[in-house]
Amino acid sequence: MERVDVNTKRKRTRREFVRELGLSAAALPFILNLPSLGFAGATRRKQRLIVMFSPNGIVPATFWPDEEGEHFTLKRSLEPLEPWKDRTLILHGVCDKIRGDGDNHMRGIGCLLTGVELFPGNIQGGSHTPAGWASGISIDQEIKNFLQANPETRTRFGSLELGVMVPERADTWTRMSYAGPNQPLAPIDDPYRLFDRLYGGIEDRETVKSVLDDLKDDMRKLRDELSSEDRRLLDEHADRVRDMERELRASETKDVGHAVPRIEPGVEEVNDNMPRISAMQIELLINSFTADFARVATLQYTNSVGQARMRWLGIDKGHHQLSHEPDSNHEAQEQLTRINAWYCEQLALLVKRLAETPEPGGEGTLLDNTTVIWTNELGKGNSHTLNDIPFVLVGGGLGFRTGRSLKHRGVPHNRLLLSLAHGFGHRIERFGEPDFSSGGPLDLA
Amino acid sequence: MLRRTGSFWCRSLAALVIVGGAAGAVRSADGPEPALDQRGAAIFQRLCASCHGDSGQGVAGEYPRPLVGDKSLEKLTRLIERTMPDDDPKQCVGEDAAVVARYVHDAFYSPIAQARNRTARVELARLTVGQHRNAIADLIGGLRPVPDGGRDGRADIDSDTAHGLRGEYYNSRRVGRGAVVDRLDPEVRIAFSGASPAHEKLEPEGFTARWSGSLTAPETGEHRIIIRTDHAARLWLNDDDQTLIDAWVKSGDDTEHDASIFLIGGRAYPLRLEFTSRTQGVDKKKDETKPAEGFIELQWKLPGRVAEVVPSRYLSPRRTPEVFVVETPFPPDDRSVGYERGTSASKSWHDAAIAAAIETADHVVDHIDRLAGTRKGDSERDAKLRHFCARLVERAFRRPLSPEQRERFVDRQFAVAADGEAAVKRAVILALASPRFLYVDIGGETPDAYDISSRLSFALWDSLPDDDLLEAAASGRLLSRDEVARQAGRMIADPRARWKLREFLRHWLEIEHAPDLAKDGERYPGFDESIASDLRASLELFLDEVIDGDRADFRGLFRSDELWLNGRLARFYGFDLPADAPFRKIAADGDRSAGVLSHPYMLAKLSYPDSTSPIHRGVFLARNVLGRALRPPPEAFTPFSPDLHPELTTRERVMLQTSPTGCQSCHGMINSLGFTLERFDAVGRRRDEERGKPVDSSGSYELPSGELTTFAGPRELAEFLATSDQTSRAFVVRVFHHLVKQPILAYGVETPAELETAFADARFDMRQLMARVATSAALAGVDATADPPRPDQRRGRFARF
Repeated sequence: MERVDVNTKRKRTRREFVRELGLSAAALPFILNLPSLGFAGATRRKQRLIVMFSPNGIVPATFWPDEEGEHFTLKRSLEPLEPWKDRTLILHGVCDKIRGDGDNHMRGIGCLLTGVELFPGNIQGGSHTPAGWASGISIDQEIKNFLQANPETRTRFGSLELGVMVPERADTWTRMSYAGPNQPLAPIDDPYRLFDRLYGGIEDRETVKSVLDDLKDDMRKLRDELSSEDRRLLDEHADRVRDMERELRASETKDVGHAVPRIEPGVEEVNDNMPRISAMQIELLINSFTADFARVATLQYTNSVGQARMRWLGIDKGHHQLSHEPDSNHEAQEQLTRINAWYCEQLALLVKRLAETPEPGGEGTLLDNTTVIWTNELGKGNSHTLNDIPFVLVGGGLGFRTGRSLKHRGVPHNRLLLSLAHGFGHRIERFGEPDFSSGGPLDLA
Repeated sequence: MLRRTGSFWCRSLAALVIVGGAAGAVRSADGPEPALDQRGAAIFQRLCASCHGDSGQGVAGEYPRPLVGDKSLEKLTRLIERTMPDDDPKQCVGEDAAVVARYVHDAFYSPIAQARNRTARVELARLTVGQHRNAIADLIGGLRPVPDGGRDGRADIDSDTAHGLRGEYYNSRRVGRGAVVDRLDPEVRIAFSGASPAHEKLEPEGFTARWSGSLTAPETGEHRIIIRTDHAARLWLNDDDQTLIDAWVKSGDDTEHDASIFLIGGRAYPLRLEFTSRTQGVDKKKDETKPAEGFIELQWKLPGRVAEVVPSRYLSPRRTPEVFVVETPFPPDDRSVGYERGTSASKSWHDAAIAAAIETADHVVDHIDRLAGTRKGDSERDAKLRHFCARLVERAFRRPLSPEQRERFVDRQFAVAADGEAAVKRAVILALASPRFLYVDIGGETPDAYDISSRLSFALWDSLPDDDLLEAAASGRLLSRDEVARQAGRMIADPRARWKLREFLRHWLEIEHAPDLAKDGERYPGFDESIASDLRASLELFLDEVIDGDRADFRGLFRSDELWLNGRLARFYGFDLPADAPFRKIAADGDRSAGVLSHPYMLAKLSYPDSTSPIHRGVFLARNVLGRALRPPPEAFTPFSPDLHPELTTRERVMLQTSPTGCQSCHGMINSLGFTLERFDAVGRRRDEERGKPVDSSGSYELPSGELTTFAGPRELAEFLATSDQTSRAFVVRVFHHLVKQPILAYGVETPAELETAFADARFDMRQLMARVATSAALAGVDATADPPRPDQRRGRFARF
């Protein structure tokens, strides 16, 4: 089994960076030959996908539009999408039909993007049998691999897995993306760590460049103390320093197509900072797309069974705890509606920033070329149903016809996952459990 | 018949050159007598210079190579008399031959003359890759706050010599409190089958265990660590925050989890392994009681070896501090002269050095509060960070900073950086990019006490001086030879010095990471990867025992009659041990009692897949052990196939192929050394006959003086090598080069002889030799007396140590 990188808090960006580039001990260092941070030389439209996740189901009555078709009303949970209503496609009736080991929260997140069963394992949920990790790759990674295989669509990272307030714990409830069977991917939920990963190399170059003068001055002093024979090596060394200086200068112009973003310093990763962290992560995601670091991203808010306490909305109770309350508890349902509306605001902010950002080197905006899908591990919190999983799609990345509310009748979500792949031109016939792919991709065009 | 060229004998004259200074030649203090010298020179110019050049440097198109070698004057005279000049040997005979030989010998031919003519000097050198890694590890290690002892108050855990890991077993899901069993587990290879360890105390439905202590790396490089278990487990190695292997979620049928980690050899790394057979997540009451069945093994796979349970001797129940290991890949060092040295500054090296500086700076910044003893919001944070940086730069430079340096390397960085972290990062990068860190011995004409301390530590540890050394430098004590010798004596007990000796022996014996030990399956059935891997382990066990013995006895390397065997090896080599026996020492028979020479790893490595190779064995003995430098053969030869001459033994076949006179100048020596080991076949098994004929294992060796020694077999050869001056001289030279990474003759033509004497005085203790080599190199250019230093010799003060 491959090493499962499950810790999100580690800060060893430099080392990760080396591993990321696949540099073995035999390869030589990289400081000055970072992979191109500029744009891939694509002439085709740059299609992008973002999967946004929030947990614990929704309140159906305040979420799903009553109408089907182009004329529909956004209810309170989805109200923040009003400005983008014509760019929005709401899919009702899509169901996670994967069974097998694990409780519904576990299968809810673990099978959401993989469409396959979990392996048997040692993680015991509140009911049902214990389970382990998903037994297959997730669709975001499938698409990433497809894009990375083609030089025209290959990018520095291919995909970015982001999170907001994901617990520092690796188990079935905290992982959504899988590079393959038993290979969960840890989302980065620390904006500073994400920043280092995206821009650390550039910052390092700046630092090196700015200490070279001091270094050269000292080397000149040292040279005076050496015998003429010994100066040979030092002079050779000084040439190397000058080479490096020259290369650093030359690289300045071709690093990124935009200024390195500034992020607010010192924001601690605590519950009450969730809105600020969310905004920071969205900003870094927009920057990553502008720089064409990746074409695929996931943005995972908390985790399956997530317990965010949205005190900034005046809600003190944990989200998961509230989601167990019965329909008859109107106060709880009201709070759950507001919680989901808050998540929808994050979606709307993301969409707004995409819509404001011109497509670099292309036409229109990022939103024209990006599809954002907002989803959840459950259909409804208190029933733990895996039917009618929320899927709200916004943007023009995959060419789906938006401005519609569609109501399907219990179609397996594997078919939607297939639609995403087909939207990128990756025409696979099945994804995940083969039985649930029959009928092929949902027709969303 | 092989090609014979008109000048083959010239080649034979020059073919036997010597590495460094060596072999038997007696230095004539006064040089040749002037009159004879002039006559010899005149003859040389008349008869020889047209082919050999005015001073024996060679002439392109004629005899292009320098006229250097190690034949005795007498042999040289005879050779010239018989064969020179090439077109008419009669022109130079009798006294003419004698005086010209004398001239050639003393003017440029002999090793001493070569040394005299060579402008050997101690060259400025940068750190080798290994030194660089060690220096950074010790730089960061030396700045870490001293851990609080970490003693557990238990003899079995605290002991410095205990092997294994501390094993704690819990009935709860978590570890840390209320262990029901707490013991020393020699290794982690545990099967739980109903009867778990101390089963009467552990609940049948599942338990949790933790093993802790440290692991010593046997190699520098990637170590693949493997956990085998049918339950959940996770491992931390050299990093308390980040798991190396996380299989805490049991998922599917995987029972093997692995990860690679780059480690510096010879150092101990903290390790923690946890295991649970219980479920995670919601703690449900068990509705069925299953007996706790299962297993866990902690294994590793070393380069070129098969996976094995991590042996007890590499484990210790004592926790050690983390070691910062730079992972930046470096280009390999130049070793064209036989030892690694840093005498060039290539672009790839420089890029790597800067990348390593950044990697180190990132680590420092990530741990800055712990390292600098401060925290966010500390009112003295800035001062503490500056102080920390000053200490770091001083340690990196191995000497106190002048006020100007302090300003440049520390204060200025704080002045321009946006915040404290950024300043620390700049200071670390600048310090580690500076030649003051990157060069072993840089500074003024006259070495001072700090230079001495660095020279000592790089010679013995390939690393920075420790506090003790720096303190001795600061006080000026290190300017006395006695103190230098005392420090060297202290330092050779350190694991880093043991590692350096081990590394040297591996290099000397050409023990490679991935030797090609594949053997012909039909001829040597059963000699597989596992046997090859075990042989390597067996040889390492032997070497470790010598290295770690009371005296690291050089002669013991040739005289040992013991062999480390496990059950698998014993079966293959015909010794009597249970099939699953772990490694243990077995007394071997007469022929096998030749130490490394009769070790099956060496014998198998110096063989072909289907037959022995007396030539490989002989070249190894001549070159590595006796210090003879051999030129490559004049042209490439394919060895005769055994099948082409089915009636011949290997010995006969080799003699046939190398019989031409042109070959014999070298092969006369090579073959007769290598034949001595014919007692052992291509997998190192003892044999009495080959192809129906009795094995002839006799051999001989002709000293440069012309004296011939004969050997009846391996044992006599080993005894000769153990007692030969030539062997110990060659060994001393090699050790010097490995430790100091500078040409030994740059330290004076008499240095090899002095060290050889010292080696003999120390009864051939290799550790003592190391100390002596390091002392002598450290004091080069220093007017060291046993007198206490005068105050004016104290240069600079280390306020911060």
